[in-house]
Amino acid sequence: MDNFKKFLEDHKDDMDFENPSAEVWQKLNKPLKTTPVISIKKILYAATAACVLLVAALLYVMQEKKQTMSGEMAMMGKGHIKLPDSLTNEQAVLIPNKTTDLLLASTTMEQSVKKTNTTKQNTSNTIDSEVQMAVKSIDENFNKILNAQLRNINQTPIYAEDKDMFGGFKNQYRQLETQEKQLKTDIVNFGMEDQLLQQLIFINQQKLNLLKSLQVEINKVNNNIPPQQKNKQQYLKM
Amino acid sequence: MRMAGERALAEDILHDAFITIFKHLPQLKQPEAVAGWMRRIVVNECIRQTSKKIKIEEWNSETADIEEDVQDDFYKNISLVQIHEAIKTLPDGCRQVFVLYTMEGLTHKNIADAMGISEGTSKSQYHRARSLLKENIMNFLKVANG
Repeated sequence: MDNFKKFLEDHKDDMDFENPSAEVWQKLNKPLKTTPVISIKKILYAATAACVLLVAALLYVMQEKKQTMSGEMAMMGKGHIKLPDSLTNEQAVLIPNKTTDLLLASTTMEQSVKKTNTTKQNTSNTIDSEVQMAVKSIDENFNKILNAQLRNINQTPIYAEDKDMFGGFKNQYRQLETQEKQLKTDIVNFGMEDQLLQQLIFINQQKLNLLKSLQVEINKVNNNIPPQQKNKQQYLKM
Repeated sequence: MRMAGERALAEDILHDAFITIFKHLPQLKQPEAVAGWMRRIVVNECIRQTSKKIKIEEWNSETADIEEDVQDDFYKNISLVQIHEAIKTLPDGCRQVFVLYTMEGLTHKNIADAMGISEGTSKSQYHRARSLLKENIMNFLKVANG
């Protein structure tokens, strides 16, 4: 082995004659510029937390929307389309005003259902239940007013000789009922389409108009019969 | 200082090496090995910074395989301070190779890898440094002995 190399190796610690100046140690005493060390674990934790928060926020927003919509439906059912328990003949003539309310309500319901359709892509199950609720609500509200109108007609005495003179109204009403039934089957089979919704509302409006016209017609006929001939009264069964 | 050759560069190297040490201190798994670990960091920093500014002559076949008289004791009659000063006067390139080989215990292969030179170049640079040192020391002794 090289003697000189061995000599230097043996004495290398004894050859540290020079020390760094005080300035070097002063510089080193200054605080280090801490560059943020980004840990992958921390990034993963942050990303996971962000995802959880996002999902929670989405669920919350969806829940809020659902509640708002249910609230709107409930208000329609209770407030706008409130009918008196019993209608008199005079009140029946006022039905058109109620109908305006109903049309407004149905428009609102339609908008709600349309709103529902826009969010359908994300939560089909939720939307399905919302659509069912909307259809049920339309049904309930129209039924209330139709039943009130029907009850009124059924309780109105007819002084005409032949009550079958109103048979045309009756047949037309049955046809509309059949169409409505078919439409509801289509909605169940194909889902709530805008077109089907429009048709459902339209049929109910037609039924209502038909009953209104029938009521007006009965009243007109009754008014044309002189009081002395009003001995025999009959009732129309719709 | 032996590696850098000049104080300013040596202090810069020391400063940067300590910054690296502070930054990587949490990664030290064996606290008892801290001295060797710090020494390695300083040496690596020396190699990194000196390699940037020096250009080492490529392998010289005439000097690389020289069989020197490794048994001579020309250094025996001179102080360690004078040897230290003589090492500092060596030219860049061969001085780093000499220090790394003799005092830091690196092999020529290690030096070649660290400095980006060939193993033959490392050997030839070492022999060159050793010859120059011997020459300088002999000259100094001649002057000192009158």
